[in-house]
Amino acid sequence: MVRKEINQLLAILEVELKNILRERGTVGFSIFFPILISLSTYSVGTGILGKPPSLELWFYQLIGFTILMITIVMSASSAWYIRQGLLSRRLEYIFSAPVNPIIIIASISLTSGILGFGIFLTVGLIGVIVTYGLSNLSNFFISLLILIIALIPILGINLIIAAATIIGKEPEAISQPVSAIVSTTSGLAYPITILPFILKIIGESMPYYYAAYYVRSIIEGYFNILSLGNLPFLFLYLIFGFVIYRYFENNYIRKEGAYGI
Amino acid sequence: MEYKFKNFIITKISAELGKGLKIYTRNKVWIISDLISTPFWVIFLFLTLIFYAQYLLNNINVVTSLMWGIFLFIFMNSFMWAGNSIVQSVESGIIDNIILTNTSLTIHLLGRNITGMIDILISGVIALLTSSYIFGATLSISEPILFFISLIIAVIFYLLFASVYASLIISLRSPWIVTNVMNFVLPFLSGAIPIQLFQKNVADIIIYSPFYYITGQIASAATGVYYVDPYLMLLISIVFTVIMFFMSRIAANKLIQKFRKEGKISLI
Amino acid sequence: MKEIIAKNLTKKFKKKVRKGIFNTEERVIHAVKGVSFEVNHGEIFGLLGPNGAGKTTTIKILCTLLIPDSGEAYIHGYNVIKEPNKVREIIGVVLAPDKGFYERLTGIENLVYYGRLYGMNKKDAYKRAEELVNLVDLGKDAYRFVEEYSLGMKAKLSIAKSLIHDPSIIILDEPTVGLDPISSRKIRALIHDLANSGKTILITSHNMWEVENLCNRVIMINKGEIVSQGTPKELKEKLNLSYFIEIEVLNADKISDYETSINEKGNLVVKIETQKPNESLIKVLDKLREKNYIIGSIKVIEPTLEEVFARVIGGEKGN
Repeated sequence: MVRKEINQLLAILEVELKNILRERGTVGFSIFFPILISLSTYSVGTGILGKPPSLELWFYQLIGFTILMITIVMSASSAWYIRQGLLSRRLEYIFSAPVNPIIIIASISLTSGILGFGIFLTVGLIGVIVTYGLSNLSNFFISLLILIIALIPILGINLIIAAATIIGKEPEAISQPVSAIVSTTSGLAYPITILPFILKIIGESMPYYYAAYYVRSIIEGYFNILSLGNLPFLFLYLIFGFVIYRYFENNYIRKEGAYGI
Repeated sequence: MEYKFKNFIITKISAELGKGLKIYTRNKVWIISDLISTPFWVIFLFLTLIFYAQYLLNNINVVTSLMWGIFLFIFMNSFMWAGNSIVQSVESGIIDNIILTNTSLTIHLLGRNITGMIDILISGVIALLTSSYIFGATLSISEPILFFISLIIAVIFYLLFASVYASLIISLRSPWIVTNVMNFVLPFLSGAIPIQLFQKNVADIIIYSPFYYITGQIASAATGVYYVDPYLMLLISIVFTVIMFFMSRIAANKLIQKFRKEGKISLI
Repeated sequence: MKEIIAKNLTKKFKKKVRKGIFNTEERVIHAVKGVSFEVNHGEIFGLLGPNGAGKTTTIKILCTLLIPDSGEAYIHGYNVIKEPNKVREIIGVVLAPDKGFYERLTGIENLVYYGRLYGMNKKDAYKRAEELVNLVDLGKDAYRFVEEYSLGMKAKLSIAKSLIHDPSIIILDEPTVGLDPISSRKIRALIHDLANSGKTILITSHNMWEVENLCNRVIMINKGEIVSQGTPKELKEKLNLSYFIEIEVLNADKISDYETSINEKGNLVVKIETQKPNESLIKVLDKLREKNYIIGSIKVIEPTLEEVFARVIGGEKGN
């Protein structure tokens, strides 16, 4: 039973990955974008200060923007999947086939996760070498492993976004506020300590903040193993996501036949 | 019954505006999404831009300048995405029918631009209020008449620019990438990020950008801080708007010509 | 008057074809090679051909959306290359029936929008749109968002859109593709009515039966070239296709001179394959009468345009 589902997951993964790899512009942009924004703000900083700020600060934002890019790609792809499935009536075929829709959503998220991992590998490697030389490379590779674990709870949030798209229909309109809230509160481009209390709490309760924190602290060498204690709590998002998605699928798509409307 | 057909531009413009308004008001999820997202994006942009010099958060003049910078970022962003929307018109087969009605692309884009302008109004006001409430920026406008004149010039300029931009990106495989990049490049070239914040040598380079005279003068009129003489800026902005008018006509004609020759809509 | 004239139209396209994940190759496609034809006022003229034959390219040239590499075309005397604006005012076009609409507008709002782009005032555009939704039998569906439309409803809306400015020439590219039989029949009836009201209609299709039933004249196009033209009847005759004659005989169990079979009523049926149905029928009937056979019924089965098409295209492939 599990073997069959793994096979289905791998089959979808293969098709989706091929699809993404053929969109060279999208892949290139996803890599280029964090570098572009971080360099833009770095040049603003240089302009304001009259001298180049420290490269560690640039690296801080580079890592943050990279994780932001990954989360935007991941959340938008789940929402788009549902929307296009509804419009093209593909979801009807999927529900009538012996494939668990959660397997499909999970494999779509996983595909964008793999793309995100590739983005992080490329951009992070450039950032580490430029900022720290070769000395922090081993830390960087360890941080990749932690990033994979830290991205898993984000799958749960993607399932919630997918569920919201079933009702809201507009994938970008649904994923945009999520991106806005995540960007603002997760300490990706600046430390969350400067945020008002309520925004700080929102940031600390979501997995994105921890993904950025773990990666930065491992690369920069101040990682504390005790901080991993938050991970089990973050995995609640995954369970929560599964439950919510299932509820919406059963109560809206199957009962009311909300396809394409 | 006999129907009258008059090729009045005003009829076409009102058709496009009416369509744009109807579609906008029907996308309620988008309106709610914008209302939720905008304050967060404003805070994000503010803190990201000021990341390297966080002490400036206490400087009311800098904070007010940044507030107008973000307002202008939203302003330009809306027009760029309106230009980008031409891609949907191509994909949905609407563009063929628009050409068949002898309607110019610039007029067709008005439908999307009206949505953009409502967005500017709603998101812009939210941005100003958020900046004022969270960061303490001053909402008063230093030179209101000059501000509104420069705002009108900028609206006309970017309406025309959106159609030139649309003509350039229409054939690209992933035009949204260029639009995203442009959204981050333009604030630098346009003086949306106040050039007074930069060192003089950087500011001296930015004043060679035509966009600076269109967008930068709005910020200057709002804050009362000028880097170039206000009347010279106004004059140059009018000249560039006239140039953009001709450029948009040339671009639209070339685009249609190329479309008819190659069977695919592209300029580059 | 010749409402549509196409003279020696040719069109090539360069297409990039993906090879593997990263490589592409440029290919030249000769979409149309020297296509010429003329359409008279009030006629329904068919362009018949398989997918990729060059029908849509020809249509796009005629409706000013494409400039040919060589050749000329005129609509109501206006040159499609040099006077596109004039041509656009007098033609109504259906290109892809499922495209060209705003999904978040209702059918009628889309029609009013296009009407106004053609220069009508809002009141007139609305009145005309209401007339047209009744004409194409959209009824109350016209007030639903287009995103909720079926393909058939979109096809009807497309035809309504092509008529919004009351054009004298209507160009329809596969207007019934993907439609159910009832919707197709309604659209064919509508096309007939339009022709009867004096409009000139150029229609493309790969549905032989449809073209045979609709068109006064037809050209067959394959790989960008005209392979045959004439009235559906002429095309059949040109190719010497066989007719089948079936004569039901009520008082015989066996007739040895002809091929026979037994029909569902249990009567003998004489079957004859011929290229000259009139002569053959008279001959056979004379013979049967001589032998005092009683005739129950006579059926003459004509060759279909589909057979003509298969013969022409098949012959091409054989070459």
